[in-house]
Amino acid sequence: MPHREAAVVAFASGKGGTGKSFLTTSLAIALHRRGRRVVVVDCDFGLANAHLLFGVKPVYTMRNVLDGGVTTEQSLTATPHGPMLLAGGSGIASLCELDAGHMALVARSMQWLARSFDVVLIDSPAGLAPQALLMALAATHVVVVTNPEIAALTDAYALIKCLSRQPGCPELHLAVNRVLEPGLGLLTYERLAAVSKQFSGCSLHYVGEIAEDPAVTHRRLGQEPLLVSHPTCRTSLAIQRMLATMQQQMAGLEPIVCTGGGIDQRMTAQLARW
Amino acid sequence: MMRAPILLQSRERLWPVVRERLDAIELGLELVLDGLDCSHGQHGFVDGLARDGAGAPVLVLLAVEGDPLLLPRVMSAAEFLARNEQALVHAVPEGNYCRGAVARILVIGTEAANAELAALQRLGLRERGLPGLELCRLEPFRLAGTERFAVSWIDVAGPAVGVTGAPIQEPAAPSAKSLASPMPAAATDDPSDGRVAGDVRQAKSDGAADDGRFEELLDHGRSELWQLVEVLCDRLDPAVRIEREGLRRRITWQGRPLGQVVCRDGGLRATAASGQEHTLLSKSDVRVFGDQLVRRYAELAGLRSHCSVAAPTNGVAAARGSSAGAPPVPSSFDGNGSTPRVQVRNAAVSRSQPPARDTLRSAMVEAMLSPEEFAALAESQNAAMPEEPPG
Repeated sequence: MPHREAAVVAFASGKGGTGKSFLTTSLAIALHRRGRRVVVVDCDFGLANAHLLFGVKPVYTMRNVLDGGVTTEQSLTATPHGPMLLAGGSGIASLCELDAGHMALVARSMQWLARSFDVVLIDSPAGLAPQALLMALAATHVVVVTNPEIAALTDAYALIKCLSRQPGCPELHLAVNRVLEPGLGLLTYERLAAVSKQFSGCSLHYVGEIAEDPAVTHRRLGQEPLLVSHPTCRTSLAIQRMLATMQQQMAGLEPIVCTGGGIDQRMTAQLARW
Repeated sequence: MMRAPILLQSRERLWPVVRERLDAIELGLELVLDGLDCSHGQHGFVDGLARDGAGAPVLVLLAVEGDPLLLPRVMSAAEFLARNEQALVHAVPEGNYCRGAVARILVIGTEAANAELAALQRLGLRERGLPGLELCRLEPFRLAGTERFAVSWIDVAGPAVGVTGAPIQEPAAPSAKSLASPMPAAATDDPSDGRVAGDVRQAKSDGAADDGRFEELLDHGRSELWQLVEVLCDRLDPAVRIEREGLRRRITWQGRPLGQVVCRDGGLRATAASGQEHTLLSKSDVRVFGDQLVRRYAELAGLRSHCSVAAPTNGVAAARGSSAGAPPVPSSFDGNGSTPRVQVRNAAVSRSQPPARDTLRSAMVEAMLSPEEFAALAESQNAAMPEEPPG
């Protein structure tokens, strides 16, 4: 039966600390300010931190959903800046320890979210664990977040290579964070895209760069998100530009009418390859 | 052309047919010895002494039309069991019975013996403190030229329960023994048509045939494991059902089998649709079995279609169109008339298992960078990074 489904964007990276959570939460706020109903799903269950960036203390997390104690709707946390958050809950067993039954439950939660919101942003766990791949492959778009340093670059390429070889791989996009000079992000993209095309035969779409900004790295807990406190700073403007590019590349980030299986079925399909 | 009754009504000729197919009547039921005299010859022999899946003794009697001694024979068998239930463990060592397993009597009748079965239904052995009695009726029918019989379980505490009520239709998954000895020609279809006779379908009314022994036989640890399986099924899809059937629990999705769990000798034996068997001893075993259930579910639901595509397909359209354009699943997995054990017999090869390279875990291996890839990235990095002035 045809049904409406939100645009689902997964933010992934081959290496930790590239700024996935920062980008996810910032873009969520920016999207909310454009009148969209946005939910952020923090799937980095082991080291979830999206709630810290939003400055909220969730009562319920994904763990409560997995335990069957609350529904997905009940587990959502409203953030002061608009987007809803399904927190991952730091310190709980990592997603890789979840069994197929739990992942099936995650799939059903995702289905409910995709039908209830306009945009679902997934803060994926870093690395190439099966659960990270699962979340990325269930999305409609994947934004690989990397830094221009060689370690992050090789890990990002490994992730792109791995994802592109999976059946049902969504479109891959690249965001370069913490660039030292303007334009370095584009250069990084061009090289990475060339290597990806040459060796893996996959295409990348560039969504933009975010400059290295001490205001981001030195930000303390409890402070408002940069997009709220300094909406005209260069990082906030870069985020706005990135969002505009994403909307161009991702069909406006509009919900779609889904005639086939939804995100739950895509997840289950990938789950069958666990 | 009029055909003779499929099932013979004579006890002497019916017993050889039934004795080979006890496992099809009740999963795990196997004959130990024929001809048990427990009434000093007064009421005739109990047709067979069997062992069920839980390791309990089962006295099997046939009910045929016009058998005046059936009732006293059942009574004497019940009294015999009440006296010697536990002694049978030592007295019949070839039965390999489990100490403490509850013995019972199973009376198998044909449609011609309805009156006898009805009389037994009113017997009320439990009220008299005698071992449990189970009644079932074999009802033959012809299907596609082959002859089969359905097993209708009769509620001894209430009115007879027929094959109505959406019986669980399942191929017999015949054992090698039963395949090797098909029904006698007189009791089957015309053998000249080349069809294999003796394809038994068993159908028990949902719930009526289940006496809760499955749960009773599980210790605390096993019970927890079984609950994990139940939770998994509940989470997987609302249409996933667990069908209760004696010592077996069949897990189905829209009527198509995903797997089954059998309580055997106090343990849990799970069989995935691929035929792969797991003894459920720990949570990790349940996890492995659950993994198989999910795979099978995904396959039946057409969710694995785009996963089976060899070449990567960029673009969300490929993923979204997966359900609509699902390629046909292999015929052995069409879910209609296939049981896990038939899968084993017919296919032998586990085809629901993805190839080793086609799993998310194996994908990680492929992600390893080759020296050429690393060199290309490093070169690009050198070109991209701004040069710092020396010193």
